[in-house]
Amino acid sequence: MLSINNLRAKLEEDDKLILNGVDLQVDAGEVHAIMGPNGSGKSTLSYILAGRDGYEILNGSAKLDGMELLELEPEERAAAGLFLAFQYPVEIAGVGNMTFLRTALNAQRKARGEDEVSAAEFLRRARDQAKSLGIGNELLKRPVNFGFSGGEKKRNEILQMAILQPRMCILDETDSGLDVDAMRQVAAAINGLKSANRSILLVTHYQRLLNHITPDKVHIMSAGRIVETGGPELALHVETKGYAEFAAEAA
Amino acid sequence: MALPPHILQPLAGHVPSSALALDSARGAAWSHPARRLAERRLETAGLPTRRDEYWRYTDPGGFLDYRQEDAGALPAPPAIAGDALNLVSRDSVFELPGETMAGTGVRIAGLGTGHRLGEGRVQNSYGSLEAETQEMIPRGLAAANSCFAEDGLLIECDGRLKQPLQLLHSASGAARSAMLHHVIDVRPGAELVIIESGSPAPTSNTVIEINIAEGASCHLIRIAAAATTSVCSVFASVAEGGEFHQFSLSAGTRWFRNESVVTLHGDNAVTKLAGAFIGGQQNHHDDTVLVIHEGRHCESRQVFKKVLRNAAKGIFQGKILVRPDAQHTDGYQISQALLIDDSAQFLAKPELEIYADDVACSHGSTSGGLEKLPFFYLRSRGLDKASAEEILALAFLAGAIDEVADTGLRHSLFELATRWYSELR
Repeated sequence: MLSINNLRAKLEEDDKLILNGVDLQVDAGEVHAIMGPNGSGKSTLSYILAGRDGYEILNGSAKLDGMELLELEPEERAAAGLFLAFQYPVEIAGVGNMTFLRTALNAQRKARGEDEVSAAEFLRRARDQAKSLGIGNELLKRPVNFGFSGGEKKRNEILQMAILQPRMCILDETDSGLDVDAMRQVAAAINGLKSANRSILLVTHYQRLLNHITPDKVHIMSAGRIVETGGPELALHVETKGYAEFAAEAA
Repeated sequence: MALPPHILQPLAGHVPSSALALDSARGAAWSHPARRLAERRLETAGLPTRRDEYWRYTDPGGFLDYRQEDAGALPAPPAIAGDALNLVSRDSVFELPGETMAGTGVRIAGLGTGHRLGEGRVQNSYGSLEAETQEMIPRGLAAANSCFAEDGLLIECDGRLKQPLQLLHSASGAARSAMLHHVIDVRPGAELVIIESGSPAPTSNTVIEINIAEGASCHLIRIAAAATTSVCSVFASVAEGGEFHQFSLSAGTRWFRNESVVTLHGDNAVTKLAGAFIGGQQNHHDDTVLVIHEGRHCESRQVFKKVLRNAAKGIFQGKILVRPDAQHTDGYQISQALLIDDSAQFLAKPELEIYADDVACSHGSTSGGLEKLPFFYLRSRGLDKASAEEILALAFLAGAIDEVADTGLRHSLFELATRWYSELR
């Protein structure tokens, strides 16, 4: 599904390397977690995969089903099935949440040569998904993320993911800002999206999300590289011992 | 008395030569005294030049020296109110409604007609609001209009008209220029919504004078989207407890100077002025606003937004003037431009002039490109560059369109803006 090879990147306006040779392979149907201390490059990796500008790719590749992502525009990556749930979802005043989502869904479908979804059909799907995420109708009508609490924004990201049905989901610190109940609802929604032809990459500081979503593999990232890969037990190990030993390894 | 050639010559392209020469060719006989007074104001003010401070960012030559090529017919004016009393003008001549207005509390006459409306109050106030602020700021083009205007509407509103009055201009291209002058009198407690859609001719000079009596309200909405060259001057006077709301939506207009002068005479009066403009192709668009607070506890609000690309130039000059007695004034003003590319330009001159000591006034002005993060966020969800830009630009303009109080009209205006945005890119 997702195959990253020796990816090296830096900020456009700074010479400091942020990704220093990332190698990562996520197979179809798998759930992976990337953990690591602040500044290890986790969020940068997410942004670079989604196509945010401001970074310079020095070498390496990132392929989705064999297609080179790094050569595509962000919207082409989305149409190809990539989705990034933002760590800090963006507020967009004046754009209705539902209008935005339907426009996005139909733009992706159009790019893939599929028929548009009618307004009525879309609304039905959106309401169903919103209900299971505990998102009220009132929130659907508001401008995108505008006046949402931190938790509501994160739920809204998952709602978008549930409606857009991407093949490769990257969730950047989706657990931050969620209380215990919200965490359960969000985790249940993510678990509900697991399927044989969809992969999920959870980027997180903490182990707590992994209590609800069991990863197939856990990777530790430090100083811009994956320094350790293991099973769910690796996350538990980090929870008790911290990242110090891996930082030493990276250096 | 004849006007000197340096005033008459530039006007030659804007009014029929017969009107320039003869008093008797200038509309109905009742208007002649008012037109003669306007002629004197025009002579004193002269026509604007680019040296005038008031025309610092807009060269009046863009209007006065402009000679319209044969432009053909202008596009049909969009009707934004489905349920409206429509008044149609063809090549700047209004078809008057006559009997259809019976029982509505609204009486309408044409400027060109000889008969008096009601007690003749409307006729008597022709040119008077335009005259009121001439000493403070000379407005030669508005005075020229009062002197030479060919047609327009005299409207007296005595009730609460449920439907908007919708003026629809269609222009066949037969006339290259038009000079229209409306006088609107909204009587105590009355309510009137007027929509003016389209342009009477490829080049036009319009004056609208609005008297709003105690507790009355008037909403004026103007929409235009053809490559026209126009000056429009709106003069409104608001008595105690009255309200005046103005909104304009324009797109792709070649050269447009929109002046609004609102005087809040009475206490507790309110005015809300807003505008949204979509510009490209070297369009020049200027909103120049003066709000004068005279009464106490009055509120004024100005919200102007422009989306500019392809060497379009947007201007905003807005002034809130608070007279010494106008205590407890609440004044607000914001002007913003979204510059889609580096060739677009926005110039703003916000001004506060306050002589009362117990007031709250604020103003702000911003310009800048599309915000990067929302743009990326939309694209990461699958919207291409053009769609993401359009969605953000329209959301930006919605901040001005939202000033329109009526939900239905607000929706229609947003839809129209959406259509125009995609047509003009």
